[in-house]
Amino acid sequence: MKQRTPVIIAAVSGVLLLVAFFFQPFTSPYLGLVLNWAIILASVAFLVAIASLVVTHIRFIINGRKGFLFSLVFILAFVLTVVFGLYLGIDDQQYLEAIHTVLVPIQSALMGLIALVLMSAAVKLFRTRGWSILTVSFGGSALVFLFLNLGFLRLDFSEGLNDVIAMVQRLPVIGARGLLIGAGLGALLMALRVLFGQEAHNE
Amino acid sequence: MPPISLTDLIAAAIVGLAIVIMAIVWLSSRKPPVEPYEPIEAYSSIEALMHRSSEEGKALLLSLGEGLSGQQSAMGDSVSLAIEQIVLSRSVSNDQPTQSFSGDGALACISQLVVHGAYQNAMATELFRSDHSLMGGVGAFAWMSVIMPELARSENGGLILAGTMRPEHVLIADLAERLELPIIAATGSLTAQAAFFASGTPVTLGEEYYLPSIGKAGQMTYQRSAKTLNWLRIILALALISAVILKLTGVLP
Repeated sequence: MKQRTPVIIAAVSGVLLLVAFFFQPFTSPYLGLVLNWAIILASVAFLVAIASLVVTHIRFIINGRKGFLFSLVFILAFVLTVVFGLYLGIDDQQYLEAIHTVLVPIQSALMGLIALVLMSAAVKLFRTRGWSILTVSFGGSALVFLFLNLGFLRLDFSEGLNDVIAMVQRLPVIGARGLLIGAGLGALLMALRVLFGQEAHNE
Repeated sequence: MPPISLTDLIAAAIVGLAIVIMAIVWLSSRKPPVEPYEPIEAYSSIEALMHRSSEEGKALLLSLGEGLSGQQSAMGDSVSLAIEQIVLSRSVSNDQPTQSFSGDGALACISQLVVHGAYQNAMATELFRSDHSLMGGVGAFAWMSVIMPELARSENGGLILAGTMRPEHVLIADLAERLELPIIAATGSLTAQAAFFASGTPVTLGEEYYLPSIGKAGQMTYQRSAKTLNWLRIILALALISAVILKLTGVLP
């Protein structure tokens, strides 16, 4: 019973919130209140997680764990960001520029790297996954839609063929919607299992 | 008071339908099925990886996705917590502890509770340390940058990526492949699924992600959930086809 009580409280709260969500015209003031609680809780959780992260990295440095230099860089960057953020204020233009000067080039470099990795993965697709209906349709459709969406194929002489191409270009959206409906159903079922305590019951 | 919108009513009807089907399946499936639903490949790979790392005396790395709150409003990371609970419950007594990384404060706190609960259930709370579950960083890149150096450690036996992912995280799969470290991705994000599929990593496809079957494929709970999902899919597909026909014939405006 001791273990079931939190599950029951969580399930009842979840069901009430679900019902309140669907009847928002009548329940929006209460939903706003609960949302505020969630924001406060998430913020506190964030502070706790940051404290835990900093303490762990300090412990790594003290113990001389392999790769502790990364921890040192992390602590240094964290302290500098917090100190300057508190001193200058988080809206300070120079502070924001300094952060963007570090973040933007790193993120751009990573994006470039990701493009290369994805390209190499596409080339290696058939070697790693083998030849199957799934891999052939995956690779084939990726190529076809890449070619079509780059706009290389233009049939200005025929209005009808252009309409056909436009229709084919919409196919990935249709496929994605189908997948999203499936994922939505899966998420719904998972949520209901959690709400009714079935996941906790399995533990 | 404004009236309840049609979209909300349809959504409420779908939730109601799901509850009714769940109840019917629950009541009608008392005996084990003659032809049970097969386990999901990616989740079977996680089970195999757990056994392998346990035998080799190596640690498992678990990445829990970008988070429950803030930037992500999806419930995908609830599944990653369920996966963490299953993995932890079976790897508590391993030589090396399983290490979890989260991309969000709330997720990291809940993850700590899950890890602590697993040690408590195994009556081994003295083995629990708070650094078994850490917040990697906030945001896709920060979180990824914490996982990548961990892959190079020789004491790690494999990486399980579970939760809300992005296609950018394929960099982790690429590094793991080069380090010959087994990696499995379980994510509900469609773009990430496509990226991981191209990289050759075992990955959950479509709604498979929402049925974590690690070590549960033979259990009635899993079989019932799979059956409910199947029925929901059939009913929704029929409803969509009917709606298309009605629209084409001009019955629906």
